[in-house]
Amino acid sequence: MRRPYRAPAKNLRIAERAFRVRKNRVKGIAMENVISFEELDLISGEVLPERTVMGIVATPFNNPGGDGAGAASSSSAAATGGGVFAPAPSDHGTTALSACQAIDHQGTPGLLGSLGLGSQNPAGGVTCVPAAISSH
Amino acid sequence: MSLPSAPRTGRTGGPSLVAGTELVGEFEGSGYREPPQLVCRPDGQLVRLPALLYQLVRSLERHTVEDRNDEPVTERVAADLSRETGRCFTADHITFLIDRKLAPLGVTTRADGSPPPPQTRSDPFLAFRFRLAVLPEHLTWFLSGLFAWLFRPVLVILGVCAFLAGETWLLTTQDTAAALRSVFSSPALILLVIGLAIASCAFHELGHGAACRYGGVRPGAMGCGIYLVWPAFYTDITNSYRLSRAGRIRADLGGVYFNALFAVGLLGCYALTGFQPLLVAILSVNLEIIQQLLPTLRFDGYYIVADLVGIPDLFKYIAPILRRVLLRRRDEDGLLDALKRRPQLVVACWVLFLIPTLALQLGLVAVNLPQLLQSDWRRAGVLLAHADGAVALAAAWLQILLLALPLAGLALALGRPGWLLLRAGWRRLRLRVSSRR
Repeated sequence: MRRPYRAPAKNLRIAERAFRVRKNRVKGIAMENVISFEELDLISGEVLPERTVMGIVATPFNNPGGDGAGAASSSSAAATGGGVFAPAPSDHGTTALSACQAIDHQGTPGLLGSLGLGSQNPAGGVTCVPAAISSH
Repeated sequence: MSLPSAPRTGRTGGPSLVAGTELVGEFEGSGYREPPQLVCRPDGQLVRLPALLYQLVRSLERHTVEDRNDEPVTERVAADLSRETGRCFTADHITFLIDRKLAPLGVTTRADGSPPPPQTRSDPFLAFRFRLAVLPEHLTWFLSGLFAWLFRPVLVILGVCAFLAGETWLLTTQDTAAALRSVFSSPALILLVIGLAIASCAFHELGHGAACRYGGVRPGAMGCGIYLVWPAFYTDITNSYRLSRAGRIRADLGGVYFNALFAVGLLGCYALTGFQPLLVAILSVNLEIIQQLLPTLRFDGYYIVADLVGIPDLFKYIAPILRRVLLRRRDEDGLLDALKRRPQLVVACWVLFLIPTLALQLGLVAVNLPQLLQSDWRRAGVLLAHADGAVALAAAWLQILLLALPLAGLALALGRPGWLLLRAGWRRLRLRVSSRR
């Protein structure tokens, strides 16, 4: 009857060592695969801000945030009117008679001028020149 | 605002989602390197979560619903996450994430099943604070549904073309300045123009709501208030985060589109009647459109830029951008590194454009404030002095209100930081006095 084969002790030791290495390698991989609390601490979410879309009431009469709006201007420059103006006579003193002319320079035409974006700015005024002086 | 304190707990009394929490899905078209996921809280606020936390929430919901065995929920969730991610998770990791990351956001209970901490209302920079809801959500839903059909592509193209053609005709042929003169000379016409401007504004808000309806999400409440120095209407379209990038941009542009349609209507009326004050009303609508498209404050233009780059809150990146560009410091928070390259560049350009613009606007307001007060006071006096008759008086008071509202808004806007500064100064003074003793 043949005796069962027994591996030499040396071969057994090599086999056991190989098994232990394979076991530790698997264990090493598993240990590397465990997530850490440091990694988890880097993760975060956030509450998104609410979206409230707005409509601003803007008119040409008053627009504190707008630039150039609300300028009243018209489509053409015109010199309007003219005349002689004199104060009411009094008992004493000096009366001056003046010739006056009202100028209304009305700036760039159209919507662009209305928005104050035109190259010609609107302007107006009254210019008076003394014509005669009388003393009484 | 605190969340409901009745969580959906299983038999073990472990963690669960807060009752009413909804898993929405991916935030589409985002500017983040890792696509974020969205969860809707019971109070309607949307929460952005990274993929891992979203997987945890999904697993938690599944195991809370299917709670049939006695194994702790955290261990089952850990097993799910390990399988899905290929990394090893334990129950301790899940407890850590729930207690430190999810419960503070109000998405889940704590790991022991107790209610989450109370949530404070978010207060983003330059948010619309001083407001009042006028139309509730269900009424906004109904009214928006009446106009949602206007967003069909063919109608949008036709509407925009009609608007552009009408504006070109107006700019090149019509005498708006004469129309302005005629309106200024009549209080009744002033009232008419202001009324049309307010109607245009309200229609603008319906545009946002209708765009949300067309996209398939629910618009929130509508109301009015003061935004910084402007009287304003608003619509809550927080649910538009659920839409794709195109849907969000459509919701943002919906208001301006409805302004354009309103202008087309006014142009049609003017073409039929020749009634000059309508030109002034169209001018007002144009001013509204221009102002809304500015990207500096939280107008529609800001949301358009934010949605183009896929970043919900651009103001959050002001400090990191300034630190990196001006102080040459690294991004310690990791806020900028979480963004893709192109959105980083766009946000940086936006911040560098915004800061000087805001500084200039605020500087102009501060410098002109005394003159503004004086001229407004004088103008109010002139308006009241020349108001003869009920209509003229009503027009005068309406104009005075429009003059006073910006000053009230300025007082409110400066009041809070001013109060905080005063309080900080007082505290410092008390500390100095107590340290000397």
